[in-house]
Amino acid sequence: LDLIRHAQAGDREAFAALFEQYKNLVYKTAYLILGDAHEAEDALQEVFLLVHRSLTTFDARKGAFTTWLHRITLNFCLNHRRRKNHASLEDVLPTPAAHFPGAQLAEEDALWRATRSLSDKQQAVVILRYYWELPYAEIASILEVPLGTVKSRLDLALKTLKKILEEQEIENDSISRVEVCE
Amino acid sequence: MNCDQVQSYLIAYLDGEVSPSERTLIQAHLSYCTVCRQELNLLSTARSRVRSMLQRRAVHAVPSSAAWNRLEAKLPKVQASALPEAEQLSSKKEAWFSRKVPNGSRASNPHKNIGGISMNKRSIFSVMAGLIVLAMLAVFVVRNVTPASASAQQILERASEVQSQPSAAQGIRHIRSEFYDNLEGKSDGQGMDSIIESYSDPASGNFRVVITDKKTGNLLVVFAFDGSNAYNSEGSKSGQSGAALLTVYRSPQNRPGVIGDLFANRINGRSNGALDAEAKSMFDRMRQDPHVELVGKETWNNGHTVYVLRSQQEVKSFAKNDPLGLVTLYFDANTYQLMGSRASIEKDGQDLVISRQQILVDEVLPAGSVAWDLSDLQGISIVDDPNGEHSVPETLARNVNPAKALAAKTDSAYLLKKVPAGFSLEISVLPKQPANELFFYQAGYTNKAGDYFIIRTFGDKPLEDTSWADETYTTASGLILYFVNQPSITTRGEEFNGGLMQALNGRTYAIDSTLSRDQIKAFLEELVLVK
Repeated sequence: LDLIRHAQAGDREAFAALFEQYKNLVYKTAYLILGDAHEAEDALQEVFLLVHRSLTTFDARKGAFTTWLHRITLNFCLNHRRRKNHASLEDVLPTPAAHFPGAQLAEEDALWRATRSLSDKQQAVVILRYYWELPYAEIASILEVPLGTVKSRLDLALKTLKKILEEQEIENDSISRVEVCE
Repeated sequence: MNCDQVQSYLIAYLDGEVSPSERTLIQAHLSYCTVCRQELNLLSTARSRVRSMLQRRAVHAVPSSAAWNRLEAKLPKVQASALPEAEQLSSKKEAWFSRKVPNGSRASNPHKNIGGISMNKRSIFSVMAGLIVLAMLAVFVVRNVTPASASAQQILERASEVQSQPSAAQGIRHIRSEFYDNLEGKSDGQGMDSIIESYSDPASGNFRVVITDKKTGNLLVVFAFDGSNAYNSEGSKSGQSGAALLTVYRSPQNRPGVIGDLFANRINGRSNGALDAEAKSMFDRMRQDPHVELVGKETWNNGHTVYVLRSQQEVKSFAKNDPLGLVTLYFDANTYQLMGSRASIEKDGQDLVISRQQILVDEVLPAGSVAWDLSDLQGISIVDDPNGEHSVPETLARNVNPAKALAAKTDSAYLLKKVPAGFSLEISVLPKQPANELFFYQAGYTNKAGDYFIIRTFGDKPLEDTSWADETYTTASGLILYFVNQPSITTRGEEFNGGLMQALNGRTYAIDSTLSRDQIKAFLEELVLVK
């Protein structure tokens, strides 16, 4: 908190320390949403510029700094993706990982793409819950939604992903059957 | 509850986010409803796959080392210019030291976030673990014939004899090993699985090490020395989606050893038993353990028959658990060569693997069979670095007095008067440091238990603002340490102690340690300028 107070007061060193401390939080979320290292790098810059501009509005009495930072990061990354509004190459072209042998890799790849194709709201809860391992209450606070909404979004997201995994398994089964027949 | 109601609660149930009464109702329903039980299983599988997929995808996603400099350039100018030039310079070099220094792998900038360090540590640890394996292999030479049966103590004694004998290997040593690293103590299978492929030629000092993520096939780390250039992937964005080539910097470097003599010695097997701290302690503690158990013999897929020995000893991990764990070592049943190790702790009643390594290939190749310049390596892009900006710190040799070697280079480095009992000292310096600039060094004192005390150059201007410190300690000689409190951004619970030290010469030094603050203070009292 001291660090934040000093950064709020315009202390450049404190802000640098804040950046060092939380850059991974921002970068990893950005990477998981945008799916590209360069874009995540840019998002990291933009988010911290936003943080720098609006740090004085952060009020520790209203919640943790990480809650505030998660919110800014998610809002920025999801808006950025919406603005881009086109299918990324990765969604169209087979990724190199798909060329690696082994059904597990292909499956993970499919799951990665499926997760990234979830709605913004669902993707946000999935990342906060299953990457950052945050409790539902904190997720609710970050997204400024009721607890029940977090539950229902996660429920929908997981059921969608489960369905995709099942379809993938059926597809794999039929491929291996074809190979056996040949 | 009917099936629809239960199924709408299953995710929250799996996440432990239902109330006790809801839990009871759900469990009651599941006890008789096979449909919902099946749905629970499927959702549970999907949930763990999503979780491990996200962890794996993000594990290598780390911001570039230039991120702060980029950001700073965009911040309002008035404040930017307030930053002294020297500090900007030092932050660049300092970044190096906080990133990767041999045996300073656990070093952390007191301002750096724990998550970031943990990422770096992961890859560094993989590298170091590879070196440990190499070091072990280098000294466990094929020499002896196995008795038909042996006790645990006999096996350890024979292994120890083998270890003390110098390597007789001629030609290029090729070792491929597999390493699983789960220092954070995640659920089984969620750690980092790497393949380490190394070639070394003791005659020329050339070497080549490539570390690959076993799960994705992505290159993680590449470093090599071809006689006139050092190759090093540090600082590049590694292993993202597999689409990007891994950038490998090629810097002219004359010394046979990209990351220093220590590495060269280890990989070339000249160290005669100078095992890395972790590996040596595992082996030594096993030797000292009267209850070490010979579990039996097993035959691996690659045909090796090994003795399996197990003992209970301290296992370092970031999981906050009872530090006691199980260490298993595997010795070749014919040669007593150490072929692998496994360290685990008990967590939630289960055996959780913290690290595992296994030698897959160990062979000697003829001269001329290896492209030291990486020309045959797929998936990399070599970028020339004529000014050595990406050259790597070199560890000062241990066989000479490292303090003297350091004193020959600078008069502004602090070291402890004496290396504390049980600790060993390793000093690293960046090559090609201009004489008129701040000299960067790092001294790491480590003991067998894995504790460390590290001091390194931070800056050449007195600290202006120290209000961030949560404790200040002044030594009898007038050194002032500002302890920094490092809140963790995750609940994974890593603990580090340290801060910035203001010296009488106006310079600042960073201290990192696993020791308690009282122990750190006692160490600080022993700091003197090198002479």
